[in-house]
Amino acid sequence: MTASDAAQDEPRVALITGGAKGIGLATARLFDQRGYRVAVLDADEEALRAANHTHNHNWMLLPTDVSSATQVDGAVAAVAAAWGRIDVVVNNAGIAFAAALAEHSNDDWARVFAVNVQSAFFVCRAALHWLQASRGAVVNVSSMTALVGQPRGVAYAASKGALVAMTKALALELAPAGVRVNCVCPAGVDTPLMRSWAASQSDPAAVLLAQAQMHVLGRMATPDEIAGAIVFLATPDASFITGVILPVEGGATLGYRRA
Amino acid sequence: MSSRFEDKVVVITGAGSGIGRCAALAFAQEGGLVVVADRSVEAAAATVKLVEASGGNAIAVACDVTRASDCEQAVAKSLQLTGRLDVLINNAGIGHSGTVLATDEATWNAVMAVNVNGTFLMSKAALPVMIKQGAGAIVNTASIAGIKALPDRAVYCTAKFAIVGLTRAMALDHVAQGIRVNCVCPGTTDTPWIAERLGQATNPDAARAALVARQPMGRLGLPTEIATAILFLASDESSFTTGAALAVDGGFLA
Repeated sequence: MTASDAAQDEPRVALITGGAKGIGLATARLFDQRGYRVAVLDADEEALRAANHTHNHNWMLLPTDVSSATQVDGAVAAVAAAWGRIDVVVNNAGIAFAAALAEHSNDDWARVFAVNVQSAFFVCRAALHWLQASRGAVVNVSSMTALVGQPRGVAYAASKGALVAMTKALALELAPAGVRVNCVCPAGVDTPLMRSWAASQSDPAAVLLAQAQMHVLGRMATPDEIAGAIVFLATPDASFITGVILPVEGGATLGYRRA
Repeated sequence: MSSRFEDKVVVITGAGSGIGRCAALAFAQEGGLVVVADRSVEAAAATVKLVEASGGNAIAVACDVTRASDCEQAVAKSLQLTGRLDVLINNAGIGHSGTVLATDEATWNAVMAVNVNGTFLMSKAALPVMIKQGAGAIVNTASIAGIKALPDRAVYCTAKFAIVGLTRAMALDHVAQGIRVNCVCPGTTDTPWIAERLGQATNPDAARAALVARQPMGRLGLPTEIATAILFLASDESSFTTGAALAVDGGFLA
């Protein structure tokens, strides 16, 4: 914990979407370690129960479909009512979808955008008052696919690109109010989402090996390594950082150039 | 207090003032053994005094980063502490305002020498140690002027773009050896250099207001705010980040 964190008497509150698994869960744990109160919004109720059981923390676990504005409004209101403040929003909820362009249905496109993009819009809008009151911070979890593209990922990469643009637009809009908005772009991360995406491919083992080798480090990131970057951007250590798109990608894009 | 750098040897160039001095204090507060390198030995000694007054450990080293022998000596002195060199912060830099036409050749060479050659020479001296260790982190101080051109800063932009390029090249070359290389890109920060530039303006208050007006956050950065970003990139918290150019600019580039 940094000195600036410790200086606050009342615990800060971090709200993390998709926080029951993978990067979101690692992020929730790290905020918890830093003395934050943690609220997790996740549609996967089983994973929420597992997170509660495994960590036995005093977290707020809110079953929420973040693609529903009504549900998001309700969850954010519940957090604010319980703890009276929201200092950090991490828009981490996301789904993977891999298919060729011709195989993208209208519903596929809409679903990817609803979960990956609209959710961030809903959560930011619902939490705006509280973020302004706390002069807080938003961290969006995008992807390197937003910056370098990915075959069979037209909807997914476009949704992650939308998060990059949303980050910059909101950073400019909210800077005068002292609210910072930043974004991390992981490449391959060993998460349940990655595993399910790999499983959807014709040769999952080969896909996972290719993921590892894509990074010049020769491996995927752990969720903890992405959480470290998210928490840094959300805390006062990053007090002059806003509108930044931070790659956390183990040299993956450098590796593309090497190839 | 966290201690991300307990007993780690941290070499910081240009640590006699501004962002470098702030970084020295911040690393020392988290347990680092700081080598304060500066071409002015008096400035370096003054930073060491501040570090010691705050309960930290540091040594001063006179080092003109444009001279390879100075860089090699700085590394040699660092190794006398624990035999390791864990973190290198290539922060030494100078600026110049002017178009190509308003930049004489000597000024061009001086700005390139300190910013670019200095980063090259210090890295060249430190990398063999880090390679032997199989671990190390290098953080270079670039600038928003290394990402986006600013008017009337021809040589400064050139030098800072080069630092971003060198950061990426070194990140790729040495990733397999366990060395991460990143850079911070500070926006307009309240440093002695900015104060000096404002002091030379015909109306310093108006000049400062103009700098503030272009900041989305409505204020300049503080050296401590750049230092916290440098510490992040030097720490294990960023263990999967290499080759990154992290803007710390109050939204200037957003």
